[in-house]
Amino acid sequence: MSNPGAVIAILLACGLTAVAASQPATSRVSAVPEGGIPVTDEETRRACGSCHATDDKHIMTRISHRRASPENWELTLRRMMSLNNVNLAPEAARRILKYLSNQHGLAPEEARPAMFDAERRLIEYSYKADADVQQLCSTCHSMGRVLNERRTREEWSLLLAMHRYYYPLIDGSSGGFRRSGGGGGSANAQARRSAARQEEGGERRPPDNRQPFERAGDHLADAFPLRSEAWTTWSAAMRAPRLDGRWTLVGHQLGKGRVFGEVVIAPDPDSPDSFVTRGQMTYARTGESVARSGRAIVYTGFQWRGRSSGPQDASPTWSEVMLVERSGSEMSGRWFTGDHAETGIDITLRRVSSDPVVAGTDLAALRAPASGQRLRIFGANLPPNPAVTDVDLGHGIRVTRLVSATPQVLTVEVDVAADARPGPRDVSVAGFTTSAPLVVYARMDAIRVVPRSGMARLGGAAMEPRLEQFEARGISYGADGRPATADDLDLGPVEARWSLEEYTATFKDDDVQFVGELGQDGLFTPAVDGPNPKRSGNRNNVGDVWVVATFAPDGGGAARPLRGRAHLLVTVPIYMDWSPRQVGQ
Amino acid sequence: MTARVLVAITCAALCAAPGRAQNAPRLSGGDGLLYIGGYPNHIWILDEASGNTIGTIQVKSGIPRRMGLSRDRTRFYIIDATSEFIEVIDIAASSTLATFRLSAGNRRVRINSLEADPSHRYAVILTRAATRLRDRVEIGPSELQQIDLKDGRVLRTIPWPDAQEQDSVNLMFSPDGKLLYLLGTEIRILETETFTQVDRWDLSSLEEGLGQVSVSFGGFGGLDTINDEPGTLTTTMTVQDPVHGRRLMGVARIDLAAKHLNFYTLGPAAGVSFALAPDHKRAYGLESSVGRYQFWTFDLDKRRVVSRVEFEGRPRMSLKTSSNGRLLYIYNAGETIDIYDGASYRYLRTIVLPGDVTTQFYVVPRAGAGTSDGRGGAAAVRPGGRR
Repeated sequence: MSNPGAVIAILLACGLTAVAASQPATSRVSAVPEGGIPVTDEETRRACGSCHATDDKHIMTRISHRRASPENWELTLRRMMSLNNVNLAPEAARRILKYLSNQHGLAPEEARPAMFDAERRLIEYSYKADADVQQLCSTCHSMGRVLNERRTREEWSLLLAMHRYYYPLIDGSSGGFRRSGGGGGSANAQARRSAARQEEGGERRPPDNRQPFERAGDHLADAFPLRSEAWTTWSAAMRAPRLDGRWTLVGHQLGKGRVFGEVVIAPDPDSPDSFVTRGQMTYARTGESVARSGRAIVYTGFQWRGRSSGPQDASPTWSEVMLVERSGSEMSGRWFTGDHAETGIDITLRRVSSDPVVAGTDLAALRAPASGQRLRIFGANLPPNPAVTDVDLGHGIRVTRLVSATPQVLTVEVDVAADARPGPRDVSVAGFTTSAPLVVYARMDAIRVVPRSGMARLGGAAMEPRLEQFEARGISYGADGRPATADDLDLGPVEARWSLEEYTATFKDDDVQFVGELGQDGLFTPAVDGPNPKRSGNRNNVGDVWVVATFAPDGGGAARPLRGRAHLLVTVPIYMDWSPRQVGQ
Repeated sequence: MTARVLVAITCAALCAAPGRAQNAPRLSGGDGLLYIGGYPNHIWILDEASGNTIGTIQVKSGIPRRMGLSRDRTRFYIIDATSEFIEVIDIAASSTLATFRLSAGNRRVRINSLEADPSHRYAVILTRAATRLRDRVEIGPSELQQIDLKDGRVLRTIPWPDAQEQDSVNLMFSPDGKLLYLLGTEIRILETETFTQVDRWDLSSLEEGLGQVSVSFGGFGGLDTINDEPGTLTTTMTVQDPVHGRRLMGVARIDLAAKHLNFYTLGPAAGVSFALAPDHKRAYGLESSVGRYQFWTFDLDKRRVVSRVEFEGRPRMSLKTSSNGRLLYIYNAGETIDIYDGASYRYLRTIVLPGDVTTQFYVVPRAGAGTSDGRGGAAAVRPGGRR
C-alpha cells in the first residue's frame, strides 16, 4: 500500500474490521522488564525496524519504552505514515495498532482518568498535579493526550524534543517551552515554589533554574512512568473479553433526555476481541425508537471501540467508546457523532441474565404531593403481570394502578404523599432494584443550564460548524432551602424557553447579533465562518453570549418564572486539526 | 489632569473614529519612503506623501517574516517564515544580494536574531539547530555565530559570555563596528576581532534607591535604526520602586559609547509600546489590550506623559511615526495602514496594501533612503504601483 490516505481512511474505522487471528489480546502479556518491553510481534518489528533498532532481546528503540492508549498509538502510526515514509497495508496497520495497544497499553486504572479524551468530551479539565505542565501541554492539545501516555524519563525527553523539532515556535512565548531569564516556569510558578519553600521552614535552597520543558519532562517521568504496578497487575490478569449476550442500555443525551434499550453483542468469528452488535433504544420523553447495528473491537481487554449506524444508509454513524469493567458485566462511556463529536449519549450497558433488570424511569423526579402521576419503568425481563405491590418506590409513594406491562416497560400510576420524604429513591420491581433513578421533591427552586460553559465553532462556509446543545434542568434546594448545598436535588430536564443575551467581554461588539441562532430545543447553531463585512474591522462572527433558559413550573410556588443561564463562547473553526481524524489528510 | 490633556481627550473622543470622512486639508507625513514586507514574498515601497505603492521588491526566500534595516539604510536583512533563510536586500537596487540557509541534510538551523556589521561583511546571528536522526531528534544549544554575508559561511561560533547560554538576545554593533553589544538588562560588550567580552554594564541597579530595573529592546528589528542616533538607544524601562513595591515605567536614553544612561519615570508601568518621533522631543505609545486601545504621547523634554486617548484600534496593532513626526501609522495585522493625526489623534485615512503585512514597517526619510551616501533611493525603485 503506497497511499497513506487510503491507509488512514481504513484505520479510521477504529480497527473494527477483521484483525488476524494471530493477534489475540492474550497471546502475549508482559509487565515491563528493566530494559523495556520486548516487541514480540514479528510484523511490528518488520514495519518499524527500518528506523527503530532491535536488540537480541527484541527491545526496540523508542517503542519498547512507551505505553499508550489505542488513540495515541494510532496518532503515532499516522505520523509515521504521513511524515516518515512508512507504508503499511490497512490490515497490517490495524494488526500493529492492536498489538501495540494490547502489549504496550494502559491498565484500566491508568486509562480511566483520561477516558474523556477518547470519548471526545468537551470538558474543563484541570490537571491539579502541576498547573505549569497543564499550561505547557494544553496550550496546543488536550491534557488527555498526555494522561494517556507512559514513558521512561528518556522517552519523555525525546518526545519533548520532537515537539521542539516540528513546532519550533513553542520554544518562545507562544508555547512557553523555554523562557529567557533565570529559572524555569512562569513567574507565578516561581512565586509558588518560593512560597512553598518558605512554608517548609524558610529553608534556603538553590533556585529551580530548569526551563519549563525540562521541568515538565521531569514531572511527566515521575507522574507517568513506563513501569507501574497497575500495568504489571493488569498485563498479567488481562484476558480475552467475553462480552457476548444481552445488555440493557441506559443513557442520557443532552436535549433529548433519557434513553433506554437493549444491545445484543455477539463475537465476530473472524476476528478475536471483536464483536458485532444489534441494538434498539427508545428516548423516554418522546418515544422515538432507534435501531442500531455495528461492530466493535476491545483493546487491552477493556477498551471498547465501536461504530454503529441505523438501518437507513443516510443515518449517521456513531462512534462508541466505552470502558469495560473488570467484572465483565458493565461497561460505560460515550457514543457520539457530528463533525466535532459534539452530539453524544452518556451510555451504560449492563449484562442481562435470566433475572429481571430495572434500568430506570422516564421521569427524573416526582413532586410531593401528587396523585395519578404516570411513571414508566424501563428494564429487561420485567414480570409480565406484576401486582402493584411488586413495584416499590419507598416511603410515601404508592403505586395505585398498573397501566401496562411488557418485558421492557412497566407503566404505572403513583400517588405521592405530602409527607413523602424528599430525596433520591430506588425503584424495585419484584425485588430487583435500581439505585436512585428518580428523586422526590417538594418545590422546584431554580433551573440550571448545562453545560455551564459551552463552546461552538463557526462554520458552514469553508469549515464544518460545531454545534452546542444546552439543557435546562430543574433544581430543588432540598430541606435546607439553600442553594449549592449537599441536599440539592437535580430534578432532570425541563421544557424551557430559550434566548440569547449579550455577554459583554469587550466593548461595543454586539456579539449577540452575529454569533448564531439558538433553537427552542436548546440547540445552538453558529453563524458562518469567515470575515463579516457587517462587523467593524471585518471581524468574523465570534463572540461571547449568555444562553438563557426560562421556565415556569406548574404550581411550583415560584412568584415568577425561573431563569438560568450559561456562558457560550462562539469561536473560530479548527483550521488546523491535529486530531486523529485529520492527521495526514 | 491638565487643561491640555482635557482638550486632547475631548478632541480625540469626538474625532478618533476610523471611517469618518474628513474635509480638512490633507495632512502629510512627509516625503519619506515606507517599506513593509508582506505575503507572500514582497516588500512594498510606498510614497509617504501620496500613500501610493510605488514599487515592490521581490523576496526570493519565501515569506518575509522579520526584517531589519541596516543603520546606513542601504540593506534589508530578512529572516523568512521558516526561520531558516536569510536574505540580504539592496534597497537602492531593489534586488537580492544574497540568500542562504545554514540548514543542510537532516540538520535544520533556525535563526532567531541577526545583526550585520556596519560594513556589511559579516553578521552575528543567534541560532539553534535541530537534527533529525533515524528514530529521534536532537535539539542543539542556542549559539551565537559569525557568518560571512556573501555566502553564509559560518566563520566562528562565539562563546557565550560567562558560558551563559541565552534563548534570545538583542544585538547591536557600535557605529565603527569594533564592538558588539549583547543588549539586555545587563549589557555585554564584545570586541569584534575575537569576540571576547571586554566590558559589561549592569542596568538592573542603576543607582542607589532606584530599585530593580528591567529593559526591553524588542528583538530582531526591534531597535529604532531610523530615529535613534548611532550608538544610542531610546527605550522604555520598568523599575520596581523599592519603598512601595510599585512598578513604574520610564524612558531611558542609553549612550552605549559613553556608557551613560539617562532614566526618568513617567508613571505606573503599563504595556505600552514606544515609538520615538524624529525630533527626539516626543515619542508615542500604544496600549493595545482587547477593547482598550490608547494613544499615548510622551514629552521627552518635560519628562511626562502628556496625553492618553482612547481610539478605535485593532486587537493586534503596531505603531510608527511619520518621517516628519506629524502622523501616526497603525499597522498589523492585515493589509491596511491607518493614518492618524499625531497632534489630535484624529483618524485621517487608510492605506490599503496589496496583501497582508508580515514584517516590521520602516519609515525612511527620502534623504538617505537606499544609499549610504544620502542620495536617496527613490530613483532606483521599480515602478509598481498596485494600489
